[in-house]
Amino acid sequence: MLRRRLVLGTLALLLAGIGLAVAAAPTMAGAPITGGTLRAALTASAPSLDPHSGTHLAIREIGLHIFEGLLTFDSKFQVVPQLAERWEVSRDGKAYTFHLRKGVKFHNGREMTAEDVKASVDRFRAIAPRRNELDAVDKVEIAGPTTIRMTLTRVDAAFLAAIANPICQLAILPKEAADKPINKADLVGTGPYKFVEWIPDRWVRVARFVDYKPEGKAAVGGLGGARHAYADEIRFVPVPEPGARVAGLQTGEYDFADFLPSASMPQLTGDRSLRVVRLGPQNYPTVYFNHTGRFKSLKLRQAVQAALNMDEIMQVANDGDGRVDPGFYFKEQVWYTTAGGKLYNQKNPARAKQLLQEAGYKGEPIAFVTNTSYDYMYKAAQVIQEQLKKIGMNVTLGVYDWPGSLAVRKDMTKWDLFTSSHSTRFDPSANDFYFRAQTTFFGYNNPKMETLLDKAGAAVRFDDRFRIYEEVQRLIYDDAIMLKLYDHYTWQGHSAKLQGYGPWVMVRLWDVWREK
Amino acid sequence: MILYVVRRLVGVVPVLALVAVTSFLLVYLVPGDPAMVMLGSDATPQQIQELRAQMGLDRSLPEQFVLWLGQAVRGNLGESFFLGRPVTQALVERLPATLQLAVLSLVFSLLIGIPAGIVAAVRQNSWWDEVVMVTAMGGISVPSFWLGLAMILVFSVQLGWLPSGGYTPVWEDFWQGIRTLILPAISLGSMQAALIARMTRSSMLEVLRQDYVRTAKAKGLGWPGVTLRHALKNAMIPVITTIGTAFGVLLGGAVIVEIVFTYPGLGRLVVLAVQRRDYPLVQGALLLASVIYVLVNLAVDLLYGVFDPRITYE
Repeated sequence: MLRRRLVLGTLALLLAGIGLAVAAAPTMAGAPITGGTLRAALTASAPSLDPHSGTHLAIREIGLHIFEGLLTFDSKFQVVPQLAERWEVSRDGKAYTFHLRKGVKFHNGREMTAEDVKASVDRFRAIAPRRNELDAVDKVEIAGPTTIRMTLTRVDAAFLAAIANPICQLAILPKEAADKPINKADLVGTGPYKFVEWIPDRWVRVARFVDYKPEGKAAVGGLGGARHAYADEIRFVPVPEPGARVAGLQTGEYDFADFLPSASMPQLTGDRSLRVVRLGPQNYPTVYFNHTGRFKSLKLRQAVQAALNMDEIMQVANDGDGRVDPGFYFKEQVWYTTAGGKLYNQKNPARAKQLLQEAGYKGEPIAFVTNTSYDYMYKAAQVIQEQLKKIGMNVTLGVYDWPGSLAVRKDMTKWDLFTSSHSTRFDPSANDFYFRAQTTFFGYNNPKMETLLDKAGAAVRFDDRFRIYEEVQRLIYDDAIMLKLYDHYTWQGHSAKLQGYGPWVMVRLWDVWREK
Repeated sequence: MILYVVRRLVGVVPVLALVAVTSFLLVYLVPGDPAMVMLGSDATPQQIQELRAQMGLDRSLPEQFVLWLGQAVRGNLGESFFLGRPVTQALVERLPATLQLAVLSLVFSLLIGIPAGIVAAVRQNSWWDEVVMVTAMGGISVPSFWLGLAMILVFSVQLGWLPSGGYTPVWEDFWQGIRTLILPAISLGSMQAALIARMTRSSMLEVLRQDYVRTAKAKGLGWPGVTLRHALKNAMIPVITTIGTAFGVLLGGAVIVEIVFTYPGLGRLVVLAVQRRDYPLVQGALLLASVIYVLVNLAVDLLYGVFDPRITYE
């Protein structure tokens, strides 16, 4: 009897202990109609919300609602003002003076000044992964309460694009963030929504910022212009499982969901309570050659280039949801060109076999590294393997998850071909680092390319830059440096009650409202 | 008996040591670099090197292990690379969700499993027995994620009765919390219910054959008295073992069900941590799962004493 009481008592203590631990757990830490809560299901989970911390998609998908930069891009991918209302460039092209908009408030109520801008730029240049894009910057000086001057060491045609680039955004934060390391700065911005709460794996909540001042009245599209916050709150919910996103849309738990599988299209398009939108294009899958191994041989690379049938690849990889197009920039962008396009999608096995012979290929094994984290890359790799086998190449697939494949990529002795993708580039300079010997990860080294890219860096006029990047694209094809596969479309869905939503490069839930 | 408990708790230490070494090795031997995952595939080698140095990844493996272990024994499991917060905090934040799901799954499996097992035993070889056993077989064979997806299709999408996923703590909104828990709890609990039913049945059958049960019946005791007061209590020992194992498994994180239902529990946390190569978080989570499992086993062993006074602890 006593023993039984002892046992029960011990058990009770154990349970009480667990109960206390649970209770002590930190309390867990969303014409146009204003109001309501929008619930958006996003595939990716943000590793961080610090805008300066990384290039991960989720950071900016949420972050662009909270933060703003000096400049941004419009729907045609041209640089437009955001927190800076105008700027001047000195005659020698090396000094940029930005005039900030007046009366713009941070979410903490304080007015933004040049001090905040300098602090943000300094922080970015110290810790952001994308800081090398500002390598040309020598000095950042406060020239007045709302004036900031940046002096460069050389003319840099990509400078304004680097300031405006939303990927790892140069967000303007209050000056108190100046010396805070990554993830330690308060998430205070100037955007239409202010940060409320982040519970990892549950949601990120943002609330309408009533004192938001949009830049101008024009709807320039893209990420700029007048951005209105109609919903009271937006909840970004990470839902990695595609079936769960689809189900959540259908049950009305989510008002919006991204990256819907094409297999679910029939059931969703038939549902009158939903709208399905196509985001086309979203990115383009790529294949890299390892120029330090077998593919040092130009003829061998050209053989692969000749063999590939992009229509077939697209059909399998994305159920045909895409566009076969040679441009390294999309038709929708001002930088679009088809230069070098004759060598794209040749689907010519006979020519490929001939090139193989000329290259002296004798059946040596080709290691093709791919990953299953991105379904379309894996499927594309399988199709390419078959197409290359048909011309007599001995290709074996090495399949990993994404981080695993990246780790293998670091070892240049372990791969010959590698699948990846390019997300929408806002400026052609974003691709430069692939082709420069100092920064390339696939061993490419061509002085002709270096010269071209240097010229592009100094060509401030759009027409000049455009012509140079056309030559770059031509060289990419002539030299078979790497391969672009196809323009990849993705699907998004939202409740029929959601109005004002326009698919673009990234999810934009400003200017969006929910009907009653 | 206190000594027994203390001895058992001390016995946790070698288990944890083994788990610590194994999880460390496993995670580090898998190709992948958290710095690269954090910075993105376009990061330059220099940037990656810098971040790796910041994270302490440029040190040798044994050095990293010793450093980590030194902190871990002091209760500091380090900081999650990705969440930017202490691992202990990240784990504790997930515990309430996992506990709610585990408890509700267990309640469901007990409410279904034990009565089903009793009925099958008392009505052995009858139609009831067949139904229970076949259903139990189904419960064990059907994968929990398939069951989950099927239930989402029927109960959420078609009928609209229950949400298809998500999480609301029961202390924030009791009914909404329960509603979000029902489908995942049933998906998880059905296998456990089946196991418990089968164990209860076979254990009851053993006990019902005993002389004292025949005596009780001969005394004129009705079937509730015989079955519940005499037979069930004595049949419970093996069943408790099954329940204990079930609870340990449930608490360890029901990975696939949590992913299917977008449920922010420990299981999903571990999967995300592995995908991101968030080493400190993976190690911390594995250690926590081991501790929970050991403690649950200890509680189960202590429960034996309640049901069978003959059992002593030395």
